[in-house]
Formats: sequence, structure tokens, C-alpha cells
Amino acid sequence: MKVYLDNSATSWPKPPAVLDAMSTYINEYGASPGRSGHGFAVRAAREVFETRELIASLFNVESSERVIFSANATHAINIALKGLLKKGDHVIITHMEHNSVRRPLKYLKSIGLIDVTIADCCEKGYVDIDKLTSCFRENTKLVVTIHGSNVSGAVMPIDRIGQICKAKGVLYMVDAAQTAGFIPIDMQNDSIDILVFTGHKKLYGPPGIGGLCIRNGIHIDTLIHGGTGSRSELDVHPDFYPDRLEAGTPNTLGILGLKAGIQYIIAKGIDSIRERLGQQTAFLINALKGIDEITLYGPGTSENRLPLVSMNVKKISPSQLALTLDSEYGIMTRAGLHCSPLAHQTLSTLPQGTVRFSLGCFTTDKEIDYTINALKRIITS
Amino acid sequence: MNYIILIFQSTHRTLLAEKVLLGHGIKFDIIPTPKEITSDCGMAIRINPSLTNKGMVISILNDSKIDFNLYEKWMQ
Repeated sequence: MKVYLDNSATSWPKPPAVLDAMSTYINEYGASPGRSGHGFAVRAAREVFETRELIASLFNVESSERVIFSANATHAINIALKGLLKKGDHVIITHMEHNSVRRPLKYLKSIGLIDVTIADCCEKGYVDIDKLTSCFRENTKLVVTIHGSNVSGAVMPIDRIGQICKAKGVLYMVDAAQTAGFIPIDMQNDSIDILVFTGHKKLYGPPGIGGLCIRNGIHIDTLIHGGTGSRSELDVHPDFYPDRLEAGTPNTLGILGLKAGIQYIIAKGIDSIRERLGQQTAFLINALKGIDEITLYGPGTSENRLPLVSMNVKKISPSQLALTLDSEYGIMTRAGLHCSPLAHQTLSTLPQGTVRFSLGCFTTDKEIDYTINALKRIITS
Repeated sequence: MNYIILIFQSTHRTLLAEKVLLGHGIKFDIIPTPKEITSDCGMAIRINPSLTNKGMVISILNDSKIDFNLYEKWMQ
């Protein structure tokens, strides 16, 4: 039996419509969108346009032309941070951030451009709002928080943080890599200025596609200059969106797969997917919490959380446990730091990390039962 | 025939205009942007003035706050 429980890294399997959309594009009209006016190019451009409109509607983005495609969330975060921050700016992040946020900021700090303050979080992974509020300075330009922790599963109160930032006149960027498609996000109601998403997790698209949504009135300088299919006679890069931040041939294949993935979750119902995965996650947590050898991390089952379980077993390292689960039971998990050493500092799980079981909308109850039994056998053997 | 050619800043805005005009039942074609007009964007909207009222198109796009440039061009 093969059980894939690494959906927080990349969701698998994908809805069949994702591959259908991608193969139709490759086989029937695989042209460059927006670079010509012929039939294939127009059809490809329409698909890309409709995907932007779909994403704008999903996250309540003011203008669909401010939905920018990138290779992944890390790429989108780099576009935003490096295109937005200027010398002397101060940035606040939390102690649950992924390296995708921490590393580019550390780099910008190391070259003397910015300063960064890290707000503390509780042992479950929630940011302490009072401590976050005390981090603001006169030169604070931006607050960046993860929406849902890939390590503990905690979901941050982004609407509250958004209100605080709005009141202070500071920009708020949300890293929704783990939550986009799982928890409803409303950029305008939640006061989010920049929203980063990836396509290959809970939007059920392929790897290699992600993006950012930018509120009207905010301008981000591009990292990459080049062909856009627009203003071609000029030797300067266009300043309008989306062209401003999208030089070069886009990943139309990935965009079409992403569109099909989003249509799938909308048809299935984001709320009903979350409810079912919440029940399965709670079942897994409740089955494991009675076992003395197991330490569970993150919020309890009654809290708003992601469908993942981070845990450790006494006297077995995370890497050894993951190896045994895979080699003897065919259960695929992720062991270690999950690219988030800051979060492990918060959970006191450095340096070994945790084993993470992450569920997706194709995970079955039978697979959960099998995983619980496998863990019990490993512990008693 | 002398056609009306609508040019937009970006491909995105051209397709936004397409969506809005289709929603109003306006008939038009998408064509490669005639290079003697501009190289702003690879595609343009072409309207046959004998089938569609020019003023109505202008008013729909203005109401939708979609910026455009309008040209007239003789095409076969």
C-alpha cells in the first residue's frame, strides 16, 4: 500500500481535469499568450486572463490585472520584498516564518538595506499580537506573516493583524502558501496589501506556478526586465500590471493546470473540503494523543488549523521514523525542519525537527487508519 | 471597409474589454494589432461600424473604466 501524506509540500494526486487542461494546451493550441493575434495565441491569452479573473474572485482582489504569476511562493515573495523595500525600511515578521521569507529578508539586512524584527509566537505557533504590536517603529514599512504554519498547522489571525497594520499605515503581506484554497481569504476585508500563493499545494495545480496579488495603489519594482508583448518599440520595461512584473514567456501550462485545480476545489466546495479534512485530522490527532511515546505539536483539534500533524516518537529520530514508515509501510511523510527553523525554535523541536503527516483532499479514512496502525506497530516493536 | 480598431494598454485589458463587450452583446473580432497603428499590445479589437454603434462601444468601455485608443482603418 502506498499512502501519500506529504500534501503540505506538494498535493498529490491532482484532479484529472488538471492534466486534461495541460495536455489540451500542449496538444491543441500551445502558443504564447499575448504575443500575437492569431487564433492559438488568443485562445492561450484568454485562458490566462480567465485564470487571473478566477484568482481575483477567489481572494477578492480589487483588479485582476494585479494578479501576477510567478514560479512558486518563494519566487513571489522575492519579487515583493526586493521590489518593495528601500534603504532604511524596517520589516516585522513572526517566529513561524518559512525560509522563503526569512532568507530574502536576512539577505537584504546583510547588505545594509533594511532592519528586521521577529515577533514571538506561543508554543502552538500563534503570534503574540501584543508583542507584534510592540515591534512597530517609525520606519516600519511592512509586516509579513505566514497565514498557516507548515510546521505546527496554526492559523494566524490575519484579519486582526491586517487591521493593526492598516491603522498604523504599514503594508501587510500574507504568505498563504499553505492556506490558499483551504481557508477563505478576502484581501479587501482582511486588509491584506500583498497576498502570496502557490499553485501546487491546496489549489491542486502543478508544481512551478504561484503568484502574488497586489492591492491597487502599491507599486513593486520588477526584478526582471524583458519582453512582455506590449510597448515593444520602447527600450524601457512597461510600468503597468501585469506586464510590469511578468517579463518573458509565462508558464501557460502551469497556469492552465492551476485554473483547473481551482475550478475543482470551487466545485467541490472549499468549506466542505476543509470540514472533511478537519475531521480526518482530528481523528488522527485523537488516536495519537493517547500514546505515551508520541509528542504532538501545534493547536488542538477544536482550533482553526491546517490538515497536518507534526509529531515525534520518543527514542526514534524523525528521519528514522519517516524512513521506517516509507520503507516498511509505504507511508510518505516529511521529516526534519520543513524549511522553517524559526518555527522549530518556537516549538522547541530544534535541531531534529518533527515528522509531519499532511493530508490532502484525496486522503481516505482507510489511509488514516492504516497510518495509525503502522505507528502503533513501530512503537511497540 | 473602414473599421474601428480599439487598442488597449495590455493583453489583459484587451481581454477585459472583450469580456465586457461580449456581456453587452457587442459583435467584434480580435485581430493582430496593425503595426502601422501601434505596437502597444499584440491584439486589438476590430468593430464593423455598419453592425455596431461606435458611441455605444465607447460608452460601455468608459463606464467600465477601461482605457483605450480608437483608430479607424480601411481593411478588406
